[in-house]
Amino acid sequence: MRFLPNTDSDRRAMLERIGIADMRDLFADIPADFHIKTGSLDIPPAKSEAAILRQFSKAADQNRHAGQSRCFLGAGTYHHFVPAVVDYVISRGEFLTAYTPYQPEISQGTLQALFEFQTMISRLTGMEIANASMYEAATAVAEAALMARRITRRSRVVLSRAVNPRYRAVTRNYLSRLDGEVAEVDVQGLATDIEALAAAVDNSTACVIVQYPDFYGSVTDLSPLRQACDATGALLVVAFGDATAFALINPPGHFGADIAVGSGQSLGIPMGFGGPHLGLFACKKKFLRQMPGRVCGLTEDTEGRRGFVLTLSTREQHIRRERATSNICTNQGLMCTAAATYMTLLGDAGLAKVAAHSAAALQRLIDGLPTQVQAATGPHYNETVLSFENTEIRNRFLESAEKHCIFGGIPLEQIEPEAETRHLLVATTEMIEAEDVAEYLQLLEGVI
Amino acid sequence: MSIPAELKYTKEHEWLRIKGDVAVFGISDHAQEALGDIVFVEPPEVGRNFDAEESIGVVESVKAVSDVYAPVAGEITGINDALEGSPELVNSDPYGEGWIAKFRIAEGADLSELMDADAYQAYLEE
Repeated sequence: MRFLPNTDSDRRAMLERIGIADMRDLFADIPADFHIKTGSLDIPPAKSEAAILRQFSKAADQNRHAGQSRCFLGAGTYHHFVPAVVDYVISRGEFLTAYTPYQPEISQGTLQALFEFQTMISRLTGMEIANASMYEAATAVAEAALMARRITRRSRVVLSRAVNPRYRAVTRNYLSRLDGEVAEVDVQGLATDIEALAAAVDNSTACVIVQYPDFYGSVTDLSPLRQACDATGALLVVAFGDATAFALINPPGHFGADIAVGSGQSLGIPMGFGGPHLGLFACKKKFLRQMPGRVCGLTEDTEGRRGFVLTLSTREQHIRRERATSNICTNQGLMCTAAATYMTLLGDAGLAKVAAHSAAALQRLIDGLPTQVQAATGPHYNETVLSFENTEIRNRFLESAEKHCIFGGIPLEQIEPEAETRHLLVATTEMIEAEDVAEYLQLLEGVI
Repeated sequence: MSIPAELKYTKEHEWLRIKGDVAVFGISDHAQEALGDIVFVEPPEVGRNFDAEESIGVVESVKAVSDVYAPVAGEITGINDALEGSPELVNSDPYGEGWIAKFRIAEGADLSELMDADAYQAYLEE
């Protein structure tokens, strides 16, 4: 959309037309105390385009970003490689819109991209159906909790504390205006406590929400939770942070998840200082009508030709008002086109390679750790927690790594305030080479 | 438009066929026509207890989604499984094969708000 400002003569003509001498007369109802006097703001004189570019480039050059560093940061946002083709495809005029199209007669290309996105997300997560995306992972998790409440007509939600604290905060916020308990279940040694979670599921539980791999990177067998859900009629909601995991480990569908929700940022979307990212939402087919968001469907036109349309919009807010399935009335159109392009480019084999390389880099790191630094035990995908003897040694390492253009990890307490201040959440992707791990380990040795 | 004389009707355009303390219900010919092509019917669960005017199901057409309201208080004893695969039965035979559910009328339930065919006809004309 272009921004075309009014000229002074436009403004004069408009004021004349409505019979007002001065634009300030339009704001006469606002008490004078609140008016800002002309000339009272200390704004420097206007700069030329070239000068602005120079000033902002200089400021931007001070940013330290993953592209010029070795990035061992995760916690829900991952530095995977994004092929140039992704940006090219989504920058084309036909795709460059954030909005889902309502008119199938002029939007077949976009709709087909959404349809294929849904198909690929279903396959990746092992679920029967997927919607045309959510805004990001945290609201997707919250929507899953609401959906489980609608389906089961129960109000209690069991939430693992090994779910990303930010997903939990948003979920608690969504549920805070509704009746019903949110029962949080503590972690066991910085990993999902599957037995405690299963024990917390009872006959009044709408769903149990577990992250897999969990926030701390642990990969846990979810079968006991499925059994607990079968015994009580609760739904199993599986959240995830890095969708590439399912090219290597069993996907949520393997464990009979009723709903799988998480981030699609890893699938061809840059970290971008936190957004825009992409939320994924998949579930069993029988829950289709209770799923938030929209679904793109394959159909035939009156002449029997293949066509794509949006379905289920009748359940959305602009038609159903307060009885809508959720207040999401759109999707993350451009980002899900990026993810569809990325998955198409890589294919099954490419994604499997990304996952294998990401996991191997972490294993290489763990294998080389000095004895004074412990990695969490049990299976992990591409993320784990390193525990130092104390805060000081950890912070010394982070400083030293930063000097060598390595983002060494996230101090756990920055995201989970209750955590001890000697842990470091560390993630790897296919962007981490063997020599990066070697240098990381060398710097680690240097500070202990 | 068809308004069978032997049935009772509600202001929400549901019909009831009452036999003793059991009733079968669906949506009226007028309702199905207003909704258009029906693509999905979400029936209530068998065994569910409900009060009059409670939302106990959903009828979805190509252009709108509408709640189905309980005509009187009761307990669901059966649903029309055929609607799962053929929701269009509600359009083609609203008073017959397009029935939605049957229920046991709660003891002491208030039936006085229900309309007979003439009253429903007059209500539609208003």
